Amino acid sequence: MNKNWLGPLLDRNLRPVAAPEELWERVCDPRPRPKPVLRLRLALAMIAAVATAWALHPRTASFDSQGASEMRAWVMDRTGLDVPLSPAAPIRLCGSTAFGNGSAEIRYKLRDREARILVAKAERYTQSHEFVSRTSSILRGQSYTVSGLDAQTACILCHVDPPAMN
Amino acid sequence: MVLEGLDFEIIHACRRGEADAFRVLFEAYQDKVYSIALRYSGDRTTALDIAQDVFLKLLSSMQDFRGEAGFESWLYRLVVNRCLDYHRRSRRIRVMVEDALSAFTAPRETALHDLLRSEVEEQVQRSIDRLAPEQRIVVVLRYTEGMSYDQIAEILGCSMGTVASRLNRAHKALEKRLAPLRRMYE
Repeated sequence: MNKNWLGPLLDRNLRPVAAPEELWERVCDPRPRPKPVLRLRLALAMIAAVATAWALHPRTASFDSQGASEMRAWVMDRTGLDVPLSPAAPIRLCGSTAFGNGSAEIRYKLRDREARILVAKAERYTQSHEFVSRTSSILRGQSYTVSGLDAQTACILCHVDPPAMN
Repeated sequence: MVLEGLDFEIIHACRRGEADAFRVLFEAYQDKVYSIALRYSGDRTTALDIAQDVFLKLLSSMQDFRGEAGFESWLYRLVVNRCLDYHRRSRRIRVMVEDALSAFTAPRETALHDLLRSEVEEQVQRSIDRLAPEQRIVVVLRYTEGMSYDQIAEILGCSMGTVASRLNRAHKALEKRLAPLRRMYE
């Protein structure tokens, strides 16, 4: 029945151990302890908290689409940024990425030149375009930074006729 | 120290509420009770809880001990019942919770720590933990307490054939799970 090797293995590793000193103290002064059900509830609550934190933790996500309204909705959903991409703009949308810090990158092509524009919340609000540099501008509380093209060219993402640069 | 046979003096003194007598009883059986609880539960805190409950139960139900069976058998029955009761209440959800928690927590122990805590003993305990409760308690009584089949049968209130059958099934399961350790003990 019992194999030769298994008996000694179990004998050795299941041997009796000495009870800890605190056992006598616990018997003399039984402390109230959480019932198993309560402990399990606490553990489940902890798991739920960790899972929620995990689910809510901002992470990078990408979205590939050529549809302006579809991409606008996706970026809005992920970052809260409203980038009014124009379906009539003479560009080809390639995709977008939402970053954990609440910013978004939109990839597009203009006359076969690839470009990216990074959109984030701006520290100040301006009603019309305020060009901070040749690659950055601020509009309605959002900053736009473009790479690959100049900032003014990036305006055609949303406007068919880009505004004049200050 | 274990009381030899049925020490009526100690038992009667406990019944009269003599604290010193209970201390003698505790000293005599604390290691046995704790060892069974620890090997059965695989967890120090749980084992302390079980052992504490057993001695409190012993204290409160000493009047119920009539002496028909041996005192040790009666005490072992208290331990076994408490182990199985604890198991029934919490194990399934506890295992689920532990599994879920392990998915979120990084490994806490270094390889060196693993070695220090005796990897083999851990592996054996993990294999024991996975046995069905009725098989596990038989294995613990057999290997931790070195009991014979008829002693185990008396404590569990079943036949020796049942004990043998449970032990046989447990051995088969453990052989598979512990096969990597075979070379060390052949």
